[in-house]
Amino acid sequence: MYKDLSIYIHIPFCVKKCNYCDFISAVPKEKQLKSYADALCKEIKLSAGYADNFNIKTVFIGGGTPSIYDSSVILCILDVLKNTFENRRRGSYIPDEVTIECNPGTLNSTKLSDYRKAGINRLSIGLQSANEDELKLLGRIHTADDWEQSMKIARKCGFNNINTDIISGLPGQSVELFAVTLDKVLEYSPEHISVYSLIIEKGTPFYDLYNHEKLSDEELDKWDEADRDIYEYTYKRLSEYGYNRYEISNYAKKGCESRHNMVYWNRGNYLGFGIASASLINNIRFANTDSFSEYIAAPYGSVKTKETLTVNDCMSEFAFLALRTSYGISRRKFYDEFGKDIYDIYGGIIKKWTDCGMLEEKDGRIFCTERGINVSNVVMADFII
Amino acid sequence: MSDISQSHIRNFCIIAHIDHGKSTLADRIIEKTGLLTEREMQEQVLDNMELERERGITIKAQTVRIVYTAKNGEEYIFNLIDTPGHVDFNYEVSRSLAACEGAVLVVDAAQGIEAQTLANCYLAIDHDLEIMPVINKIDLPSAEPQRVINEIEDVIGLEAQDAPLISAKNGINIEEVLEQIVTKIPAPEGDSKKPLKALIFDSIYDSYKGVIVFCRLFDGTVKKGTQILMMATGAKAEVVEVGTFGAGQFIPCDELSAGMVGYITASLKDVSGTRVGDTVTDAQRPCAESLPGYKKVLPMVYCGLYPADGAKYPDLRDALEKLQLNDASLQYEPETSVALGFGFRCGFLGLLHLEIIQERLEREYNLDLVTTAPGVVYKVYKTDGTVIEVTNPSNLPEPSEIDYMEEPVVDAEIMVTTEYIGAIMKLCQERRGVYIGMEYMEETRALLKYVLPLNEIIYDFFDSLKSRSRGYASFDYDIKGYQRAELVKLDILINKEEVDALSFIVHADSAYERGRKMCEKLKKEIPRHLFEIPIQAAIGSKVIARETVKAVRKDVLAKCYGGDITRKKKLLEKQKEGKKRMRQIGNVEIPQKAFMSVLKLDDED
Repeated sequence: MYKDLSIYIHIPFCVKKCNYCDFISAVPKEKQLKSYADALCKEIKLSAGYADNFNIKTVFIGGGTPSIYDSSVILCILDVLKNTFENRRRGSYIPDEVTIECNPGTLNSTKLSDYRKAGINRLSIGLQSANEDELKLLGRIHTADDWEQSMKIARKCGFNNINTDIISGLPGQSVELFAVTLDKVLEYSPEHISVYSLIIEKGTPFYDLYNHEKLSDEELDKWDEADRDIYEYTYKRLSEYGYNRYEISNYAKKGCESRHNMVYWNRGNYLGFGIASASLINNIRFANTDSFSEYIAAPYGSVKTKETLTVNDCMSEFAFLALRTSYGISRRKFYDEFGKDIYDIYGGIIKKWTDCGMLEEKDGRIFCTERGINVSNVVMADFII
Repeated sequence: MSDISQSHIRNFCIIAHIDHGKSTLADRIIEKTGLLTEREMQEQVLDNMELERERGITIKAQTVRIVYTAKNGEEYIFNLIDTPGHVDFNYEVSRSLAACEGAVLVVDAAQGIEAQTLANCYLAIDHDLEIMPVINKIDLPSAEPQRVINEIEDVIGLEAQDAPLISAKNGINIEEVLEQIVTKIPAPEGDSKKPLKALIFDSIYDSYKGVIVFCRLFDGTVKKGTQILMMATGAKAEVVEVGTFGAGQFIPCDELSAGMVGYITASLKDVSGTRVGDTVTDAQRPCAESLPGYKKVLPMVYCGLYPADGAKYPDLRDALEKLQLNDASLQYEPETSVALGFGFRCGFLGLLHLEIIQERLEREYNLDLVTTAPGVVYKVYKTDGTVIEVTNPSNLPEPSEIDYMEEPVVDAEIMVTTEYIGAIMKLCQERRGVYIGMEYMEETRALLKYVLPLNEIIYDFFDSLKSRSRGYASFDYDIKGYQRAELVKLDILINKEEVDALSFIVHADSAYERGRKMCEKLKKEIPRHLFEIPIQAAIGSKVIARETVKAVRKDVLAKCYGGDITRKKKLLEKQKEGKKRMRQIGNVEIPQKAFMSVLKLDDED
């Protein structure tokens, strides 16, 4: 009996680093592209042992900007993955969902056709904003027009499952300004839209400009207000267009939810390849080194952190990850997994938050209300045991 | 050694204003007499608590016996009793002085006489001690030994022309001090044949030996097997061991006799039976009357101590019990607070004593504490004619039941250079001080005398004094008694609920200002909740100040990074961890810090 497995492949390169980004990514130095791709292939090959027990269901090539590579490199990496997991045993290797993240401005029709040939059936194209001033502020390399071109080519190449990333809550952004971006996206009706509220991360240029010391309480309040207004607007507007918000920041047309993302929220098994990539296998969480040189030197075995989750850890994760989804925590699934009724563990907490309208229980599932989502960290923190 | 006669014993202490070099001189004396090699000398041998070294003050009396061979070729035994160096411990100081025949008065060659120099000096004179002035820090560029000598003669009236001019720090002229101790300080008198009469000047608890009583024998002898009686407490016990004090160690001997300083261990379980100032005598052959001057020290400052983690209550109780073994002046009794749960109302000699106990509980017993605002003992005269003492604001009767209240006041003496007289007088006025008088010590320095309410000086008076005089003022006080005052109880309401641990008693005139500051401070300390939280200060039902903590609008993590759940979990764990350090009042979680922050209201002045 094989278990389902999801694969994450991290590409830590960008043409230029965005002003808000604190992911592990950088502008590649000479020969880094090649040495990194080699290392990735090596790591994948050496992970062949997983093929004995796992079947790959989804693949996600994320970054950074994976599309920075020549398509032949991506093809090669996917080939290695296929061979590694196919050769060990008989049976076919056809994952349900294979996604690659791309940046407008790095795409052309050759690249996209190649992706199709390699079995990639889902694209995630980062737009972030359709407003040129905002794109400049964010430090993006493309224009809104670049994104539109990318969408058109992608459709032409036959991609029928496309995600678009948008960032909301930019400094000074109003609902009206945000609506311009959302409307532009809706013109192209992508199957999936991710709308991420901007987070000011330490170590980014944005942090230097907008950290908590720089802004007064009033300014921060105003910003938070605007962000939540945009959030409400997004929900309303996208509902009208047939998108379902299935997770805090993710919207999809029926049946187009990202299977790969759902694996994260449902605590399925996933294996990360590449620098700083995270994995969860049989309730053990581990992550690769975030040092480029360390990774290149020993791509397999560069695991830097490893944590065997206790039952309490698992229950905590189960609860707070499920609360990110609109489905919420399934009482039955909790019982199946832990052999306990969720009320025996979290009864008091569930009551506390349902009483004040942050959680709701319906048909055996417990989920965040609209109000609850806005302050979900406070609610979720209570589920950590 | 034990056959050295009384005429070759010198019992003395060293007195000084803080920082004038008392402990350093003690160290040099110990070093010079060869009790310890230089390698064994830690900085300031006698301050052996970590805390004492860190703060540079002596908290407990320390004693050491030294053998000194004088220039006349004869051996002398010096018993050096190091006294606590703070007004909080005045009583302990006075008992230590009572155990001596003489006092070495250390005066800083640059600073001259300070408030504590005078206070300690008068205390020594009260005990008929021979006072031997020593001018310290003569190697400082700003040293003016002759001026200081003249000052000692003019102000205190002591002959000081032949005072040794020394540097304790650099070991200059220490022999002169030792020689003068031999020639100037009288030998003890006393009759070893008379019934035992010994003064307890300290007692400590040792986990191996039990209670160790530090005493000075005035008459009689004591040895293993003697049945002893503490005359004031009535405690009786059989002596297990007697001995003298090495540096940081106890050296057993066969017998202690009149004139000697040493220790007694007996089968005593706690120090409550061996109070400082009590007289030890032979139960079979008691002396006719006890030594004068014993009093039970009463705590002057009270506050609530609560474990940050409610489950640690038993640990806190055990720790207090153990500390009390060594410190009879620490008092505590259980109390409960709606806000803070189970804890103790503790009584201290003063604010320093409070801080020391708090720090020791946290360091030595690894406890996380929440402290309520320190207060004093108020006398409440009720309309029904009864009088009650209130140490906890929560126990204050309804205003309708109160006829009037009295608060403790102190006689304060402040030594200050003339340029800061104005600033210090202003400070005293702000603190409701009543001006008594001013004496000029010399052209540039004056001694200000005020009567000040104790509750005005227990917060941060000392800090303000230092900052307003650029460090040039020094301060000493004595409890004077009680005085009628317009006092009110100020309550703090958080989300409309009264938080008992934040209530305090304050003079009516300062209530508004205090209330406003409390609300402002709490607004900063209380994190935002999912709802708006009003913070109000009220006297009875009348709200006198208000602030509002706004509701959280947004606390949501938009994105998880490529399956990096650990990062998100850490964030939530941190949030959860933060909550653990909070106290739940109704629906509001108040950080422990908030309870402490209101103790420092005046810092921002």
